[in-house]
Amino acid sequence: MRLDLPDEVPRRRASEGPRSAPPLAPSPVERRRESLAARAADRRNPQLPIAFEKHRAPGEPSRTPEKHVIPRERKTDQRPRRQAIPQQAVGLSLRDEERKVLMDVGRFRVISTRDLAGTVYNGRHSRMERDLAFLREKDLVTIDSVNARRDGRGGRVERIEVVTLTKSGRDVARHISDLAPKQKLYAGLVKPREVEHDTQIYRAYSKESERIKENGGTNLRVKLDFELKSEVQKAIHAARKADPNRDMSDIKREVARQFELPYVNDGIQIPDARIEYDLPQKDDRGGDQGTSGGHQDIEVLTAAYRPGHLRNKAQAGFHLYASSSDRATLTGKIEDDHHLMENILEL
Amino acid sequence: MTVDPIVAIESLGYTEREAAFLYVVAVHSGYFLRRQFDYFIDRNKGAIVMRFLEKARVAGHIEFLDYKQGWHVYHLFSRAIYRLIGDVESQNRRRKGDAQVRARLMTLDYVLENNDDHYLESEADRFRFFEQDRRLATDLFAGDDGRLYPLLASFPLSLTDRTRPAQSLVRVAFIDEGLATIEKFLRFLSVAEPPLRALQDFELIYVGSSDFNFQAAKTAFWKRFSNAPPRSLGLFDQGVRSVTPRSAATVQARFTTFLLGYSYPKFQRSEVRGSTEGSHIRS
Repeated sequence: MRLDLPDEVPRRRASEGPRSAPPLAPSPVERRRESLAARAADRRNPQLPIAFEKHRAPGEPSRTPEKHVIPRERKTDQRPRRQAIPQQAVGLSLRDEERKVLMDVGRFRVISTRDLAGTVYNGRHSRMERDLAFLREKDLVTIDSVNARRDGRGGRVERIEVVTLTKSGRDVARHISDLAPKQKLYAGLVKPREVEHDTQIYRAYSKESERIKENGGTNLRVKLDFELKSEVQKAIHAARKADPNRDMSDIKREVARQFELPYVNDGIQIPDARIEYDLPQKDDRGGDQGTSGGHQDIEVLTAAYRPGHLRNKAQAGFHLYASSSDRATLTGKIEDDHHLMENILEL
Repeated sequence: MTVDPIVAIESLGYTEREAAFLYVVAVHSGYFLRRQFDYFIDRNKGAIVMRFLEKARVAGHIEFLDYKQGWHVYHLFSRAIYRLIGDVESQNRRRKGDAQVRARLMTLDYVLENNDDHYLESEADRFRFFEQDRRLATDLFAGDDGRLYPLLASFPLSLTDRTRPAQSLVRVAFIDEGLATIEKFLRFLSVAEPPLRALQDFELIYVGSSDFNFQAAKTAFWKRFSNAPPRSLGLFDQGVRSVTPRSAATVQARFTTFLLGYSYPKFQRSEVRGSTEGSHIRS
């Protein structure tokens, strides 16, 4: 038997003649190489040669090469260049949006970039990203990516990008802001497991503050539960120190009254945030009588809340907020108290 | 009459250079970074790229993939664009895993850095080049199904002189997207060796973002393409082949390493190929 073996490799076809082949056609990009290079070199409206044009006889074709007109979008809503902004701190020129970012993040400790884009940048993500990159480069903010809660739900873990101030960022925010001196500012990420909940406080605040402003409220301040808890504990401690034999529930009741916090089921209910504001006072004839203070407590509910916890918060009279996905879970948890759901506002 | 694809893309509302860039992306990678567009138009960061990205996003031609904080990889996935370049079922239109995305970004960097070469962009171009211009036997570069071997079709292949395709130096780039070993390169060599030898004058460029595998790849390459006679390929050819072996001196092989000093999306060396972990669409 004879084996028909393949030829040696490498090989060419038998019919191969002298090595010649027609040139290959240039690719579409190669055909434009010169014009693209010229466009790249054409950085700033070059001065067109007009000498020939001036002396061109009527009917004579123009010697000026046709300028390729680049369709450009109309310039609108252009932000000032950073160099044109006066320095607010040593070596630091911040845009208005950046200042607002520093102030808001300082007040709420942690805000998601998605919320910042919506509230401060009117949905312009690119601007926000550039500003955050600048603030991070100056070591004023930190951007972290954290896992969202799953609350027993399956599926993929969602990641949330959140912004917090650094300590130097907090100092700068204090320096450049026109916030009330009592307004506390926070730096650094704490309680990573609660970050998603904490970011929702800012969203709830944005909704609630709109409502307050519609009713004439001005000069809004925010107190987070960190600050409220600290003040309440200090007051309880002082009361116990003054009279060690006094009943604890009495002390708590008094402290709750002092801070205008609800006392429910033997406990002081502390909201996630308290918005304090000024309301203009008017006399019977509509005259200006100065301002009076007011506050609104807000609580953000999540699917992790137990039914008893939910009832306490509802009885406390806080303005309750929950995201749509959390509302669905909460509905299942409080089957017997459906009226509670009516008071929970959607984030 | 064939329609110029760049003019066709321009008709979708792009400027000439935007359309040209989209054409390059669609043909070579499918994925791109903002800096690559800036490099293509020879600009630094600015409004031009932002305008282009916004335009493409609104038109539904690209999608944004998270890369890291505030950074994105852009994926050209619009069927309309690929239809205009004549390859509506292009693999570049598909979503790929991290490793593939990284390899494609590196491919685009390589193409942008070496834009003087004439690239054989489509599989048909390559097939025609091997078969008609270089007159190679089909079984050297194509399988039984008549299609180019995948490893030959997936890496950039270019000529230094398109006016003399029969004599021009042929450049083949192997993209190392962060491989832990050179196993893939060895597989590539085993497929590419016969056609490369037949081409006689070629340059193999090992492209990586680190020099981790450079030395090993160089050793492996010269082991195959040294002055020793070519390796036998057939099952029976050890003893039977009596034809005088081709002179190794006629093969002019060159091996070059090309280090890309750019930052690319994070890539786990142990990642399973095709995994999409780490890349998700921005909501």
